Amino acid sequence: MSEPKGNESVDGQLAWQALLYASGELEGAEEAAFELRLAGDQALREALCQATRMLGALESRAPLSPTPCYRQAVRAELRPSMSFWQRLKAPHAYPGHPFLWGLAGAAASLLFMVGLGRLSETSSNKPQSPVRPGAIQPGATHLTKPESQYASLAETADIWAAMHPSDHLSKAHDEEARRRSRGLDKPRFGRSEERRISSDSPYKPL
Amino acid sequence: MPGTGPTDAELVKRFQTGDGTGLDLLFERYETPLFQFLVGMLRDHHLAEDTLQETFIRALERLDGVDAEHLRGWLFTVAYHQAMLAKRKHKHCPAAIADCHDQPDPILQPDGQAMAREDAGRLRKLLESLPSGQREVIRQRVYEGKRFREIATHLNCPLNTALARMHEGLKRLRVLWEHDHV
Repeated sequence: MSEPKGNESVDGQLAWQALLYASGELEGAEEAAFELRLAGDQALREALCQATRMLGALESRAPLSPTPCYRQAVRAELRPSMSFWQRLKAPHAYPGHPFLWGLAGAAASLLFMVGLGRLSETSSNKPQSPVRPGAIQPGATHLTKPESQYASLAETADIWAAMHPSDHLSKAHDEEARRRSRGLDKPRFGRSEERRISSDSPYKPL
Repeated sequence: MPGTGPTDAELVKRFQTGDGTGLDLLFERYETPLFQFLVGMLRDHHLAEDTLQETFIRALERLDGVDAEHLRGWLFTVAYHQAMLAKRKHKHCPAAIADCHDQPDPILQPDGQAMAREDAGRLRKLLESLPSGQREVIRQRVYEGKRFREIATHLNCPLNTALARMHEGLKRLRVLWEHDHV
């Protein structure tokens, strides 16, 4: 495609052809040939603009500029075709400086993280309810390894012992001892600790 | 591309980042030449305006592969294709053009009429100052509505001579008109 030469510098031959075409005086093959040339010849397009402007001015036709209302239709049509990121990056998409929005976002994220941290701290400090032996805890899985299974049983026995009189304590320890003797469990406490637990217990042997 | 103000590339960049001023300046820069081009092709103001709207939409939707330095050529190319499309459509459906003419023409409004009458009177006066050959071609074309071929036959000169006189006469008239307005 040839480069535009501007509105004023149009060759005579082009200008005359354009005058004829704009006046509707080219017909059939001549008109088709002119239109074919218009497809890629910017100089001829400029000549046609000039011819239309001159004829329009001379014949006192309607103003040779469009009414601005077409702009709204173009804007409305083009707006949705902008991508999300284009609209986000647009300087007039939201008020204020982008730095302020970034700062506000960072502050909001920080607040959220602090809130989340405090929430988890509160839930970990909450006293746990006593677990009854044999009761199935929610979320507990039955597909655990034997070691961990018996370790939890031993722990249960200790808790049970701390809450009940010594006969129950001795029963629980007997149970634990039996399991240990079968070699299925590792000892969780030494003897001294067992003694400490029994002496600390509020329930004294009768 | 005009020498002053932001370049086409800057305006395209503004438009692509969603800055509305980019689009406004593109309208101001190109709507008039494109509209004149479309009126020249379609010879109908309302149809030209509809086609102008389509031209801007199609051209700006497909800006990705376009070199912004050749924006003017790109807009004219899209305008040409839209005009050819409209011509073909209205060749098959002439009623559509009739619908376009139902809208009020700016020239028929009282203000527009008065201005047009005033301009026409001034042009007639300016016409008298042109050389006789140019004046005669313009007079016969504009006031008698003759075709250029008929004018050439009537003045006993080649068609190109008649066209050249018309063109030179119009250029001179334009200069006189602008001088008169200043």
